[in-house]
Formats: sequence, structure tokens, C-alpha cells
Amino acid sequence: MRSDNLLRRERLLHPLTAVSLALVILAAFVPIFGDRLMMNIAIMAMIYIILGHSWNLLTGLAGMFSITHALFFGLGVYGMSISVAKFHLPIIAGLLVGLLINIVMSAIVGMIGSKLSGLYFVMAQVGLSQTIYTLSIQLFPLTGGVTGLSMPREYLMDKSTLYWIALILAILTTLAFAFIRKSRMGTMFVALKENPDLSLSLGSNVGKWRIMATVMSASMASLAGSFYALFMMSNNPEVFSMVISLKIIIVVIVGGIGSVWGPIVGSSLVVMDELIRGIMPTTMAPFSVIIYALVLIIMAIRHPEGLISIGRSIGLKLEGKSMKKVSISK
Amino acid sequence: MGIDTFINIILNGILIGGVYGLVASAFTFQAGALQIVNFSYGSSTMLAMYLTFFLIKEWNIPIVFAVVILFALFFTIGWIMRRTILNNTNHGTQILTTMAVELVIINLVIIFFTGFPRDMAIFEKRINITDTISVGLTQLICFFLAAAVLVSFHLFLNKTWAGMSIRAVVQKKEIANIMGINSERIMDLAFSISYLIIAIAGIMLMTMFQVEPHFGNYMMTISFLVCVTAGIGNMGGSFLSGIIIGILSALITTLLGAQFHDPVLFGLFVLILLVRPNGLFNSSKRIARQI
Amino acid sequence: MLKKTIGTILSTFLLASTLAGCASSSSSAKDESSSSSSKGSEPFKISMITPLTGNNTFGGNEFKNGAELAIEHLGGEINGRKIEMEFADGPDQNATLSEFERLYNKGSRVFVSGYGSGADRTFATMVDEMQVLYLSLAWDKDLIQGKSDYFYRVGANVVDFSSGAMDQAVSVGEKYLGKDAKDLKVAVVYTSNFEHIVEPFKERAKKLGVKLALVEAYPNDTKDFVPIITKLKNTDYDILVPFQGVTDGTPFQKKMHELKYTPPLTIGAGIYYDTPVFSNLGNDITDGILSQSYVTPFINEEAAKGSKKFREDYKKKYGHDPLTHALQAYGIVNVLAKALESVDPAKWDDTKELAAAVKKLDIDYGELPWYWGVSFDKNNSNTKADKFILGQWNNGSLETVFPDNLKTKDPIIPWEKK
Repeated sequence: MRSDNLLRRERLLHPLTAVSLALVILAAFVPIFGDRLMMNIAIMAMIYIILGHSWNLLTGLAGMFSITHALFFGLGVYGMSISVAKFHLPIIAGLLVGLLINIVMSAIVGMIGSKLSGLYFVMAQVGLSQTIYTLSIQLFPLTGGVTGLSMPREYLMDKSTLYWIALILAILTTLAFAFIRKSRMGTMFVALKENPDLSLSLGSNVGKWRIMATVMSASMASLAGSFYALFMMSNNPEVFSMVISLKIIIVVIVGGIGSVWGPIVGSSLVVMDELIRGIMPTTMAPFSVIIYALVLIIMAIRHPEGLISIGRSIGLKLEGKSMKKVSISK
Repeated sequence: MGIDTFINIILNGILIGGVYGLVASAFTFQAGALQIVNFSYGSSTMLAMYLTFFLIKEWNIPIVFAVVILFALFFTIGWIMRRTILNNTNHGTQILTTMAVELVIINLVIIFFTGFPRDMAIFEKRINITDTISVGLTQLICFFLAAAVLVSFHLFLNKTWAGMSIRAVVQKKEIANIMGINSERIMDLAFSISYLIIAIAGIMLMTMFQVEPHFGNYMMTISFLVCVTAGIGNMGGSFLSGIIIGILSALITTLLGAQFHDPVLFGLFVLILLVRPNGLFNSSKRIARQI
Repeated sequence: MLKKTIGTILSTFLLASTLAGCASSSSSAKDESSSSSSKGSEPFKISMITPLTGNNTFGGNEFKNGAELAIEHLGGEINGRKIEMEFADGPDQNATLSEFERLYNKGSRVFVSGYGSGADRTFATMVDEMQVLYLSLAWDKDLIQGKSDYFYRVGANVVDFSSGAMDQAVSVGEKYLGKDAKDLKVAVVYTSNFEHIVEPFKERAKKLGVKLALVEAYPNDTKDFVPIITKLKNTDYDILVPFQGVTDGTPFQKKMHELKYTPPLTIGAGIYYDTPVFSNLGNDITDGILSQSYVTPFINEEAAKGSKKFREDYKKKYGHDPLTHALQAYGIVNVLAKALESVDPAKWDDTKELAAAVKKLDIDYGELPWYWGVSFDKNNSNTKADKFILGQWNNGSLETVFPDNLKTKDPIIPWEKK
């Protein structure tokens, strides 16, 4: 059964390779033919691809249901902006500070995740992210409160440079995710997700692997966050918001959970949203959020494995899989 | 600060806490007994508040009719939600879909009612117990109403046929099926009834607070707190722990300062989760099955 | 298989990036040519991105109305060329940035702040590169990070505003309570969202030697104000200065009323205490409360040219009294109009020339309907937007009581409750 599945994936790589090539070529041409708006949209899509991979690693592979993923993203943003704007450190230091904060936070989350599961884990995350959000507002001398901090102007990069960085980051995280998924570690994660009791009795250290998965996932999100700080040139408590967390989840669910291509396919939704907003009359804006939500509901119920699974079901018959991959209730 | 100040603050905390307890009890019933995790819970409460405001203040519908309309509406919402998106047993799907429902509710409220905060503009009468100690009349009524609702819900579950079949389905679905109970129907009914409790809580909250579209977030975190302290599924306990949270939150503000309120309360919440995930009052793991 | 894929992806990527590197310079050249093509007698567009959806819809629409009315009052043209407003919705920071890029793409080169000025920090760093003229109303202290030719802060800044509130409190204390700054005790209550506003207030208090008897920063989702009010009751102070918004101000004031507690003297620091929402609480609560705020449309008619016309026409057109927000938007469009008047309409599309004209502006207090003058310092921050007024609620209307040249009534301190 399992090897059968793998075989199918192998075969599927052929058309997907072609698609990926087309995508990369297309992506490379955005700065040539596209204008600033196109690049802006593309950058947002890239950010969501990175975040999508990050969420996919934690939830799709390791099976820890991350509901407030914007927490890691936001800490990346704050790590960068605080160290550069407040302490005048170079960008690379900002990146490292963001990573460091995220490693600490993700170790905490991972520890909680190795002790609690299901609904309790989700509630603990909500509690944690609420605390961090409140602190980001209250620690005004450090974080800049609701108005945030401005990055020094000398760090302003032009749109196409930002675009290239985003593209490289997106490709790197995609490769990293693909690598982890194929590696022994990835197998371990999936084993832990599918049957924690069995893997425990077979001698694997559940706690260790769960913390490991959280740290790696958080590091990816931190990269995206640090980049976002350079892109926005400021920070803002909004980055911790639930809407961002949900968008990340939607991007992966729409694309296909657990799959390398999931976030890439799903990011088309972000592109669509940005394009539609330009066309729609301004008073219709809340409808776009409602449409997002409806897409999520339909995908979660009808096609929990995402658009990829629909694609597969056209060529190969999809076996009757349920929402097994996001199963969080044990 | 004198002793009467503290009595005042604690009394206020108890009364507000009772309402928190009622709000949380529907969540604990859904999550614990029905095994349905409803993350659109907070925004449903918020919707009930907005509807109360608009039915009574803007559209000038007599209070009795307004309440009937609200109940009918919320019963239907509960029924539809259970039939369409919550007829699965997977918590992951439930959380995702209900979070999406939350977004839908918030944005529909913004479209139809605008994001402007609404307030019933009722001034609360205070009852003076002594010269320096007083309690709010609305709060007092709400507190006893909340207790009455919870007691009658308990009686409903234990004394009526519908209630008993809900308990039967919750405890052993297969056997209930064999005994001739349509378990799906009963689950629909139970979920819709929990939405009635949300409607009642919404009406009460509207008389006490001002509502804005993100009011639900706060109610949601409070419900989490209350549920976890009591143990998920423990409805009587949730009333009690609602009161504890009410007192605690008042004392944190008074003794430490308002800026410590959120970090301390939520920190405590995570701590309780880690140390006693089954709640302060329970040690047994079967708590989720109790009603 | 995977390695092969990775290899192919990477090599294509490298190839494409070199291609793109050559072409990126040509794309910027294209941008400039498209901007210069829209010349001559076409209507001149002023763009505003303001929240028309989301939580700040109310303020966002006030801004829209104010700007619309300004164009109407200017007759829709300056020096023979038509001008018009273009609005876009910016409910949050990211959406505002996206809309900015979209409008830029469509040829907009002149922008004014919308309500809340959500993404002005971002714009402050990038408009120079894009050669976009941006007139901002954001009031953050560290908004402008360095010399700029295109970004101007036309409105007030938060340091002037909130240290001004402290000064007002001190002068009220001296004049009416008979207390020196050193003897004055002030209680501050605010939501932690306003930390950036309160910080300069506290600093000013320290400098003047005013004692802060109570400082309460509650989280923005606080619902129960009884503990805070009880604390106030048990504190010995002379003046209460609340920094609050609608979501927390209304329940706070209501609870105080229910608990039958009236502070010795309240000086609200704007934001909420000068809005009609506050006056809806009823005269029982509002009467006697002072509020420091931006210049409102309700000041002495002789003090600012056109303020009466603005106030009356606004009410006629939109059905309610304008808030200071609407006046801000009205004012900033008028400032831009002054700059446009001084430049030949054919050259308006050259933002460099227009920006230079803005920089040269020197308008005295009272020449514009919003009373403030215009004169930019080396960081392009307006130095003549530093006058704030103190109003007092009297029988349901906010009367300006300070400064003397703008006042419509004398303050009544202490206020005798009926």
C-alpha cells in the first residue's frame, strides 16, 4: 500500500517537473515584463509559499496542528526590526536574532506539543500567541507599540532585488522541505504522526522529534518574517494576527497538505486575492475574506488533500482518504 | 485600600465571572460532551449581541418577540452548522471550518452592521449593601439568570427524554442506536440547544458590555481559560471556575496593575494546561464523557 | 529523480536571473515614459488610500468626505486644470501598500494620507525612490528617518500633542486649581494601544516635576473597568487624563457614572473625548469634561479662514457635524492646493517640481480652515502644526476654551454638577 503510493508519486514527478520548470521560468520573467504591482503580488505569494512550507512541515509531516503559525512569522519580523531599527545591528544580525527568538519560542511550543495533544495543544498555542501579541503592544520602548518601528532608510531595497531574494528564499525552503520529507527525519515525523504509540514503543524519542520539527518549522517562518520586515520597512502587531495564520493554513489546504507542491499551488489564491482586490469596488473588500473562508470550508470538507489531490484524481483514481493527514485528535 | 474596596472588587468579579461561566459552559458542552470543537464560538456570541442590539434598539421589536426571533435564529444556525460542516468527528477539520465560519460571521457583521461599537445605553442601577459596598443590579440579575439556565439545562439533560437520549448518544453511540435512538438527529438537537445557550449568553452580555466585531476573541479566550480550569466537559465546574477567573482577573488588575492582566492570566492558563490538563477539579481522564 | 529536478530548477533559475538582470534596467525606463505620457490637460489626480472597510470605516469615510468637500470648494480646478480625488480602500497595512502600488501603476504620483495613516512608515522610506509626492498626516515621533524630497509630514506629531496635553493640565492647575506644577498630581488611564502617545506625556511630566499619582495601562480588550475605577477612587489626585478610544472610553465613562464617581477634573486627551460618540453618552456624563484635541471645526470664526463655511457645507452635504478628522483631510488637500497654485499646471506631473513647491510653502496660522500654518523643517516635518485646543463640553456641545484667540467660551472650572 505504502510503496504503491510512493510509486505513484514518482510517476507524477514527470509532469510536475515540467510544471515546476514553467513556474520558475515564469517567475524569473516577472521583473522583466511585470511592473511594481506584479512584483509586489509575486513577493506576497513567495512569502506565503515559505510560510506554507513551514506550516506544512509542522502540521502536514509532523502532525502537530499549528493554529497560530503567525506567531513564528511575527517573531521573525520583530527580531529583524528591533535589532536593526533599535540597536542598529546589521541585517544579518537581525536575521539571527529573529531565528534565536524563534528557536526559543518553538522549543517552548514543541515542549508543550510533546506533552499535550489535540485540542489542548491548540488552546495552549492560542494562549501563548495572545500573550506575545499583548507584549508586543505593551513593551513600547522595545517594540514601538501599535505604530511599530521604522527601519533605517539605507536598508531600502528596490522591488526587483526584494523579488529575487523572495524567490531564492522560496526555492530554498521548497528544496529544504522536499529534502526533509524524503529524509529519515521526514519518515520519523510521519511515523510519529500516524502512530505515536507504536513509534514510542519502537524506541524513538517522541518529544525530541516533535521539538525538532517545531524548531525547523519556526526557523522557516522566521526567515519569511525577517524578509517581510525588510519588505515593509516597519513592524506592526498585525503580523501576529489570526488572519495571517488562517491564510497560511488556507494556502496549504487549498494546495494539498503534506505535499511539496501544496503551498506553491495554494499561493495562487494569494495572487488571485490581490488581483481581484484591484478590480472590485472598494466597498466589496470584506467579501474577499468571506470568499477565502468559504474556500477553506469547502476544501477542508470535500478535498482535505487539496487541489493536488483533485489533479491526481483526474489521472489516477483517488482512494477514499479522509482528513487523516491533519488529524490532531488522538 | 480598605477592606470594603476589596469586597466590592471581589463581588464584582464573582458576578461577572458567573456570566463568563455561562458563556463558557456552551463551549465546554460542545467540546466535551459532543466532541465538537467550535472555534466560531466567540463570534457566534458576538453575533447574538449585535442581533440583540439591532432587534431591540434599531428595529424596535418588543423584547419578547426579539428573544423568540433570536432563539429561533440561533437554533437554526446551530442545526445548519451541525448538518453541513460539523457532521464529522475530526477535530482538525472542525477547527478549520469553524475558524472559517468565524471569519464569515465577523465580515458579515461588518458589512451589515458596520464595525462601529454598539451599546444599549442602559445605565445600571447599583444596590447598596452598606454605604461603601454595592453591586450592579443588571450584573446580579445576569448572575442568577446564568445559574438558573445552567441548572435547568442540567435538569433537561437528566430528567427529560430528549436530554437522556442526548446523554445516551454521548456515552455510547452504538448502543443508543440499537435502542432505537436516531443518534445523528439527537446530536443535531444537542448542538442546536447549545446554540440557544449562546443566544442567552449574548443577550446577557449585551446588557452589560459594549459590542464590536472582535468582541468574540475575548469571549473565546475567556471560554478557553474557564474550560481548561474546570476540565473540558465539566459544566458545573465551568460555572465555578468562571467565578474564580472573574475574581482573579479583578485582583490582578487591582494588585499588580492593569498592564499585567493579560500576560499573567494567559501565562497561568498555559501553566494549568501543562500541569493539570484535565482541570483543577478533576484527576480522572474520563471527564470528557461527563456532562 | 529529485536531484535531477533540483538541478534543472536551479540551472533554469540561474539562466533566467541573468536574463532578468539585463532587462531590469529597461523596465524602470519604461515606467518613467508612461508617467510622462499623461500630460497636459488631463485631470490632475490626488490619491487617498483610507479604510473604507474594516474596523476604521467610520474615520475612513470622514477623511473621504473631507477631501471630497475640499475639491468641491476649490471648484474642481486650479489655474484652469481640473483636479479630482481618487480613493482606494486600505483596511490594513498590507492592503494599503498593495493599493498604493496599484494606483502608482495606474499613473498616480501624488498621494495624501488616509485615516490612521496605516502604511505611512513604509511610504516614508520608499517614495523618494519612486518619485511620488506624499503628504502625510501620520503623527509617529520617528516617522521620518532622514532627509527626503518627496515625503512631507503636514499634520501634527505625537510628541507635540501629548506633551501639549501635559502643558494644558499644568496651566489649568495653575489658573483654576491654584496649584504649581510641583504640587499637581495627575492620574493617567489609557489602553496599551496608546503607549506611544502617553510616553511623551510621561516624559513631559517628569521634566515639569508633575507627580503621576496613578498610571494604569490596561489591555485593549478590557471589558470590566470596575477595578480600575476603584483604584482611582482610592487615589489622591487633581486631574484625570484618560487616553481612550471608542471601544474603551464609552464603557469606562458609563461605569464611572454608574458607580457615581466623578473625578475632580477630567482632561481627555483627544481621540475619543472630542467626538459625537462621546457626547451621545448624555450631558450628565459629558458636561464639564475638558478635552485637548487637534483644531476642530468649532473654533472662533474669525480665527481661521473658511472654517465656518466648511462646517456648514459639511453638515449640509453629509448630514452630520464634521469631526476633526474630516477637517484634517480637508486641510491637507488645501495645503496641496496652495502648492499647486504656485506651479504652472502643465508642470504638475513633474513631481520633483511640485515637491519643491510644497517645500517652499510658508503659510501663517489662521490662513487655512484648519488654523495650522505650514512651514517645513529640514526633515520635512511641519513646524506650524503645533497648536492644540482645549475644549469643554457644555450642554452637549464642545466649546473651545483655550487658547484665547480661538476660544468661543470661557472655561468653567470647577464644574458644578446639577
